[in-house]
Parts: sequence; C-alpha cells; structure tokens
Amino acid sequence: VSALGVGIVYNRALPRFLAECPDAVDYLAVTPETFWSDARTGDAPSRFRENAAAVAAFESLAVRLPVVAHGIALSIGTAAGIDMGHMGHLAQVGRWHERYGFDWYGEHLSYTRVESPDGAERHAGLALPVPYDADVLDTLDERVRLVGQVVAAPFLLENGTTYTTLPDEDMSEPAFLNALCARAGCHVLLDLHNLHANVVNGFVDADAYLGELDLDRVLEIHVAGGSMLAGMYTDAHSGPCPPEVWDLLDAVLPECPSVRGVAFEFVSGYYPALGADGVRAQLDRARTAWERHR
Amino acid sequence: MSLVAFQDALAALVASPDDTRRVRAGDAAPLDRYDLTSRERERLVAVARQPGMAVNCVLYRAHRMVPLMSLFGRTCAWLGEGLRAEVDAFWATTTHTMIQFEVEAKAFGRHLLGRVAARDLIDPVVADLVAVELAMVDLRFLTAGERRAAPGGRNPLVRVLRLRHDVESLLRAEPVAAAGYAVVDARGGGEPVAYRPDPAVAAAWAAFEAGGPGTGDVELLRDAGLLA
Repeated sequence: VSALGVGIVYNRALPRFLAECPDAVDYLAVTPETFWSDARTGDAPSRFRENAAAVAAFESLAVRLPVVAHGIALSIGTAAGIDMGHMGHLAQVGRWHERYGFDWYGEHLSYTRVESPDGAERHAGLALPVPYDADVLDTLDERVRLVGQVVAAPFLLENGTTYTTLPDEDMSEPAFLNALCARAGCHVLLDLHNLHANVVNGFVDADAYLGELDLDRVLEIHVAGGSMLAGMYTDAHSGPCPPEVWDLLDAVLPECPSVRGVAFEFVSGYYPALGADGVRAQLDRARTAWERHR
Repeated sequence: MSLVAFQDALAALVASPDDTRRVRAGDAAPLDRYDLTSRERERLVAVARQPGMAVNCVLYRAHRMVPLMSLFGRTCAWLGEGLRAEVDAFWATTTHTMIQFEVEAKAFGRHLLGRVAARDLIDPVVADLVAVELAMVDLRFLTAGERRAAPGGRNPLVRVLRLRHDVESLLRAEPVAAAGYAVVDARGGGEPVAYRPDPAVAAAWAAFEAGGPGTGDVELLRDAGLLA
C-alpha cells in the first residue's frame, strides 16, 4: 500500500468544501453504509437501496482522489456473528471495494448490532467496546480473516472512545490490538482523538497507551475535535482538533513506520461553524505534521 | 451464547436509563432475564454504577434523535414540548431499529400520520408538515432506478401533495389554513424544496388527477416539471 498523505472523512459538506479547496486533501475516507439503506432482508440490490444523488456527489470527487473505506456498521464484535454471505453487509462493502478500489478498509473495534435470544437484531445506539478477553480475541481472529476473504484490501481496526470500562478484563486495549494484528494480520487505525477523549475522561494515560501499542501496525491515523457532555469529553467530531491531539500526532507520527495517511473527521452539521477556512486550517496542520515526519 | 446475552443486556441498559438507575441502586432485577455468567453480571453492575453510563444513555437518545431532527426538523419544531411524548411513543413501537436515516425517518413519519388518523394527535398542521417532510425524505433517498422517468408519466423527482394549509406559510412555521396543492421538488439536485404551484398549474394538475387533462394541460404540467 503506497502512502496517500492527508485525507478527510467524507461527509455531505465535502463537495462544497472541495469545490472551494480542491487541493486540500490527498484522499477520501468514505463510510460506504451512509450511501444506502439496508432492509436487512431480501436479495441485493433490493436489500441495499443506494441513494443515487448522494452516490453521484461522492463519485464526482472519487474520480480524482484515492478512496479508503471507513466503515461503521460491520459490528465485528457482535457476539452473534457478523453479517456474512452473498447478501450480507460485508458482501455489499466488497461490491463497493470492487467499484471504488479502496486502498484499505477500516472499521471499529466494537459492536453496534446486538441480538435478543429470539434472534431479533437491533442497533445498540452507539459503538460499545468488546471485552478484551482471550475468548473474544479468538472470535475476532476468525472474523478478521473472513473480512479479508470478502474485501481484498488491508483491514484496519480502530481504537474506540469509551465512557465506561469493564472490570477484570484479560488484557488492555493495546495488548488486545497487538495480539489481534499479530494473529490475524490486520492493522491499526489509530484515532488520536478517541485516545485523547479516553485520557481526558481518566481511563488511560496517552504515553502508556502508545508505549504499549505496536505502532508498526498503524496504517492510518485519525484526528478530530470533540465536546463535553454530561461531565465527560465526547468524540463528537464537532470542530477543530484540540492542541493535545496535534501534540499526540507530532509525537506518534515518527514512531509509525507503516502509516499511509492522516485523516481529519468532522460532522457535516458543523461545517457552517467551521467554514472552508476552518477545515482547511485543520488539514494544513495535519499536512505540516505529515511532511515533517514522513 | 453467554456473550450474546451480555451484549443484549448492556445495550438494554444503555437504552433504558430507568433500568440503569435500578441496577445502580442495587436492584439487579433488570438483569434477571438474561442468561449471564457471574463475571458478566458483575461487569454489568459495575458499568451501571459508573458516571459514564449517563453519557451512554444520552448518546443513545441523541443518536436516535438525529435522523428525526435532520429529516423531520420542521415537524419536530412544531411539536415543541409535545415532541418528547411523540418520540417516546414512537420508540416504544420500534425497539428493534437499526437506526438508519431513511428507515427511521419514514417510520417516524408514518407513526405520526397514524396518530393523526387515529385522532391521538389532534393538530391539522402536523399532518401537513409530516406529508411535506415525508415527501422530501422520499425524494432524498431515491435510487438510480427510481430517478428514471417513464415518458409521459409523473416526474419521479417531484411530488404533488394536497394540503389543508398553504405550503409556503407552513414552511415559515406560520401556517395559513388554505386547502391546495404543494409541489415538493428535487430537480435542483440539492435539498428538495417545497412551494405553492402557479394557479394554472394547480388547475391542470387537478384535471390530470381527475383523468381528463387536455393537451394544453399536459404541456403546462411538463413545462412545470410535474410530468416527465
């Protein structure tokens, strides 16, 4: 995988932004499942209703920029299993990979889909962390291998934000990621804002976390901004990166020999507040770090 | 299968601040329905006692609200203080949602229209607002196949609604009772827009709906973008 540079996670404000600042990014990180509605039953394409206007807007940019996938709905940690098979979610991501040629496919080390004893599924409402236990590691090892069979691109798993912790886990998050990457051959999407949120909320120490994580496995880094909610700092993607995130980026980039890109994330609803200049400033700051250390 | 039950139970706590409060207070009865190991049960009790569980519960509601506020913003604003009760009633019927924007929003719109039809929600403005925003949702999420027009048929990028209020006053949140047509139009490529049709176009559309439009009417409707 060749280095891509500075990217941005695609949202519906991006066509406007990139019309104003066409040279601001080197790649797009797209969340495929935001372009379709999934009926959860039936055969493709009837199961997956693709929003044609949204796809067209994305394609107008994808024709000139490399694309990576940043999924949110695989739910690799769902104990009941991932949505496999020809008609499943993963197969639909695979079809998008065939269409757009993702340089890599990133997902979250978490679960969003849960099942009741009767098999009925529902969304958990937010991404919840998997227990970092040995038996879960065994399960995810198998799952990562399955993902590789369907989406033929390097597979990355992202460290998450958590607002609660499980007691008595077998290992830490970095130890779990290290073991999973070593066994299953996947990589790390290191989200420095998620790490920052966990530091602010008192769950981890950044130096200890980064000292334990195998940084050789980091293929992409994400940066973002957040905000306070009910007394905790959340990963809201609600504005510019806090200075601590840039400090983390400057510190960790030279230690990540395999890193291929740094992407900025924001939610489109915050674009009016950020403005094109505000987004551009974040990307320029990321580029300064990228060019200094790469 | 135990981890399945653990995840089911944790997600249920996140969706239910009341159950979380009970478990935090020492009443673990909400966990009794799950087949949990003692380790999993202890973990859930520990999680319920952490301050971050309040954030999880707020984020759950926020994430479920986003599709509704994004796609039914005018209806939500009009409902005002009544919104919470309507949302709670809606969520009580859709506990197994996958929280997809199109699916969630359309289900909310249909729920509100059902409440209006059953006279559980007596506000004629709501019915019109929901109709307009439901048409906008429909147009926003069209597939490539659905965007292709059949020659001479209705324009797939346009919806014509019959409302009890003037649509343009509705969109300003100053509804004026005036029965008539509203056009919801996605031909511009951006967000769908809604407007009152020209009186001649409205008359031609009434004739079209009645099945007897003249040649001139069809030309007029085609020029107005209502027919392909």
